[in-house]
Amino acid sequence: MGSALACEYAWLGRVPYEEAWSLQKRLASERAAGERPDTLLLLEHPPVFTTGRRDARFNLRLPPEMLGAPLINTDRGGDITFHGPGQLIAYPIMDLRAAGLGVVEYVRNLEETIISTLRGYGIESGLECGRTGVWVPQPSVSGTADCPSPAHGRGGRGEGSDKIAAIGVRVSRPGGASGGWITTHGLALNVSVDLAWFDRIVPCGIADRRVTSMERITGSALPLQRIGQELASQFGSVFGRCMVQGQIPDLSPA
Amino acid sequence: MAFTLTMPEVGETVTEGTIERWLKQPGDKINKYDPIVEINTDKVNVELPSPVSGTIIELLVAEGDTVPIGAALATIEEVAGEAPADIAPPRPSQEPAPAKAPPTSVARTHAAGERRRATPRVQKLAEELGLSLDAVAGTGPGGRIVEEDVRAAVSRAPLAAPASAEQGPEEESVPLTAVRRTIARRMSEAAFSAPAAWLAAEADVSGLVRLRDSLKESFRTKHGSDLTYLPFVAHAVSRALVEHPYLNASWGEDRIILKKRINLGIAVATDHGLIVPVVPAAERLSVTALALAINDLGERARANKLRLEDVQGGTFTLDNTGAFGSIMSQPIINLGQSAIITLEAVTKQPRVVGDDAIAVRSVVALCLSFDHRVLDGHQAGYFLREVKRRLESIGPDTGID
Repeated sequence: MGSALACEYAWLGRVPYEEAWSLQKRLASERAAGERPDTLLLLEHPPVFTTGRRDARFNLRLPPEMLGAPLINTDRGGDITFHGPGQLIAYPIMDLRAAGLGVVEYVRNLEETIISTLRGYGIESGLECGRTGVWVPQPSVSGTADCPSPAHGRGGRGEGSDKIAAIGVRVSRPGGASGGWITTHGLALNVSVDLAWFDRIVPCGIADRRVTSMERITGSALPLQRIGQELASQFGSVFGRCMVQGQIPDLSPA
Repeated sequence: MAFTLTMPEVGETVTEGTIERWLKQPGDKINKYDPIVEINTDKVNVELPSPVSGTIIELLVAEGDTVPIGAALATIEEVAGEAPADIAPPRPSQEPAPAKAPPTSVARTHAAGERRRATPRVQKLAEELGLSLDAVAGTGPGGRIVEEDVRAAVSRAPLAAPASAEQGPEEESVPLTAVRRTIARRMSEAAFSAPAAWLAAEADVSGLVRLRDSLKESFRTKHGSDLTYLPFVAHAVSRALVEHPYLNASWGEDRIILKKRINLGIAVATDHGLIVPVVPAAERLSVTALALAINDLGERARANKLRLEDVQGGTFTLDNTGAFGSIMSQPIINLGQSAIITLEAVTKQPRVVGDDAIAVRSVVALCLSFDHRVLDGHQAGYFLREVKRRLESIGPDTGID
């Protein structure tokens, strides 16, 4: 006997970016102090552009004041991206040390979670050499498995795949000496989000690629919360966690 | 004394990192474990804590610059006396090496000849996937084979690739899922930490069978779910546990911890693996209430709708192995508990009854594993006898509400 370790997950509905950010910091401290289990937050944001630490103004195609949504500089990894209604956000608050996971393995697991979720909806997706995130081959192009560029190169190939999910992660030790290495931020999966928003930026700093969404590929309407549920389930399989429903005080919709 | 902060190793395939932001400046005082710098690699920002207490002397790398692992990042005037802390981000934990066939001569040549052509982790992955590293071109630094190369090679390889040469034609290797790994680890931990002893008893449940047959239809109509034997056994077990607290306990190395509440874990097989949700305060519930609670937990377990409290705090476990037709089993005790009982399949058997007559009776085996550190056979035996007595006393008129 012996069941898997538990991970709490919660659907939070639509939460402003900065509110979700401070919630993550609070939960990360609680996780580091051992006051809560690993936690997976599922939500969507009102329209917002966010950047990683690196100065991303040169990846804007419009001046910041003409973007139509706030531009927030965050402490995650990765470059500029857009979040908005119809995009499933998943923020795992995990103790990597307790999970026996390295930073790189953690990111690969996030990718695997997305790929398995998409497969459940009949969408085949994969990774691109040297580029974090999950990509879907364009129907007209075949043979995207080849990788002519070095594994860590940023050159990549030209056309071929559209980006369907972005990943940006932060790992820190909010508990200092006593606490573990806790993750914040996470992944953004385009479900039915209005892709026109992405035209205003160079998503993730990659100029030659387009973004896509599950709705664009399947041509059918997909309820965000149900996909969140499915993603939580796949997250459990990939990370070896027993997913349990949780309530996040002050935020979970009644 | 000046301490030099260097770029730590972040992951097996990561050779360099970018300084995202300095969180301290020259002249700033810093305490051990205070965040000092954010480094970025592969879309992950890692906030590094300072390994020492002291004062920042100099930052050697500018924000936005990328440097290799091991490069000097900053110097810190260290407060004497303390050993620097290990600040490297977590690395994947080493799984215990599985028993496996000796490596092929090809693999050995590589290990001895071409130093670090692939890391042990990548070699292991190739081995698991049945791929010879000979067939893989490395794209990592210095032509080193990285994980992506192996995965890409596997996806390109024809189905009858060298894999069949490395394993018998009658064998197939299945990569481990994370769930399998976790279950494996916890099972080994449980099985090898508790010296478990095992008892089995047979109960004559002819009365229970008649009662359940008579209630089946009305229960279904009223509650919309099936009435099985499981809640009856859960009822008998929780009542018996009240009288036998050492079965509802755990081993605390220097003491034994008796649990006041009886939180009954029920093993449930799901698509996502084995889960043991818990019925809290089971000793206070009627058979009907237990039936509804168990059905609800099972359904929610299969739909991923359990809550944290549903899977925590179990004090004793009941496993319905009889659902598969098993008539005898030897369960492994859950970590943190002192015993587990199984309900085997109810079968009709010829049994000697009354005044040496032979009759057809419905019988069931109950199998108990217990932690022999916590209790001895006679305590376990008394408990099992009490469960048996309670089940055998059930008749057509016994109430379930």
